[in-house]
Amino acid sequence: MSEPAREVQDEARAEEPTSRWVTVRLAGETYGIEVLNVQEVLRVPEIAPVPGAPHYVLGIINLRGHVVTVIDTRRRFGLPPAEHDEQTRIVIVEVDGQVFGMVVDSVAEVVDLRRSDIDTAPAVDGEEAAPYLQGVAHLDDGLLILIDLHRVLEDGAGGF
Amino acid sequence: MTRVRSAVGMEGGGGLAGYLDDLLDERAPREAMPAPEGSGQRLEALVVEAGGVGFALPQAAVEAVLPAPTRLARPPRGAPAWLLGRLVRGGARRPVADLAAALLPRGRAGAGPRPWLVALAGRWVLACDRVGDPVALGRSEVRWRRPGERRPWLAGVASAPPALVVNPTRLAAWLDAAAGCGTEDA
Repeated sequence: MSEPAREVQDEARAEEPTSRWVTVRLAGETYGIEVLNVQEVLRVPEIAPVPGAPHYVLGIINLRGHVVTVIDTRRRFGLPPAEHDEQTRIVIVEVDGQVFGMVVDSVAEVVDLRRSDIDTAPAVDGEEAAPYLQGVAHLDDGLLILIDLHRVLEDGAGGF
Repeated sequence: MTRVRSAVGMEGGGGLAGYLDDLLDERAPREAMPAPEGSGQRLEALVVEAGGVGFALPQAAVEAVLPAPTRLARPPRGAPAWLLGRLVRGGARRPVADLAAALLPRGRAGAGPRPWLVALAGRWVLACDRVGDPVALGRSEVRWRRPGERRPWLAGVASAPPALVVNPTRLAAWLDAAAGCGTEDA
């Protein structure tokens, strides 16, 4: 590519809308949750189980007087279970007016993505998590799998 | 893609400890002071980093940790540069302070972005670079400081991890005063 063409391309990229994502780790992979939806990140408090809830619902927590449902994101995505440890966090998200918590192995960092950074058709056929993904971005050290929270919330799966 | 900053993994050491010592008020005695009343035997604190400096915030004063949105509502006209804007949270517009720019000497704070926010109980929200794990600081691990005219928010200096121990009540009052105009509306 010629230098002028590269400059034009760089300028165009600079003007692209960006979105901000908080990256979390799950079963060795890096996932992104859009910051617009994130209310807070907290360590795992006592979780009260809810009898009869879907299998991926861990229970409820009291968050400053509000009852919040917490889901086991690994189980929701069909990933192998893991014990909680010091790095385990709950990401409290709000989507479609509903607030819920997602347990993740750890929270890593915050990244800004341009639209052109995101591939919207991830080739993850056969992966159980695939229905919950909205795209993939390439980081220097691997893929960032972007979570579609609307799909996590809705259910081919019954909702919560 | 822009990598903003890491969330975890505080880095200490180097010349930081000496710098933190220098931040103790010149007029305050350098010998260890008794811990403030109510600090208990151990102070549960969340250590955050801003501008390369650790700040220990009493856990009881921390309402929430969240990633910073790409945009905040504008600060009032004439607000200091460290007042980054206003965060709508829980139906309220809460002022967001760049922790490093507000508290550290000019030239020490470094440039943002500060990708993490710590909402304090009350109304202030602090923008920082990293959020570490909670720590329990023993009384003897902090060189407590008498409140001074300068840096009234500084309760002491912790050695491990090296961090400025913040008095959140005095910090809020100091930010209110330093922000000056219109933070009620902020």
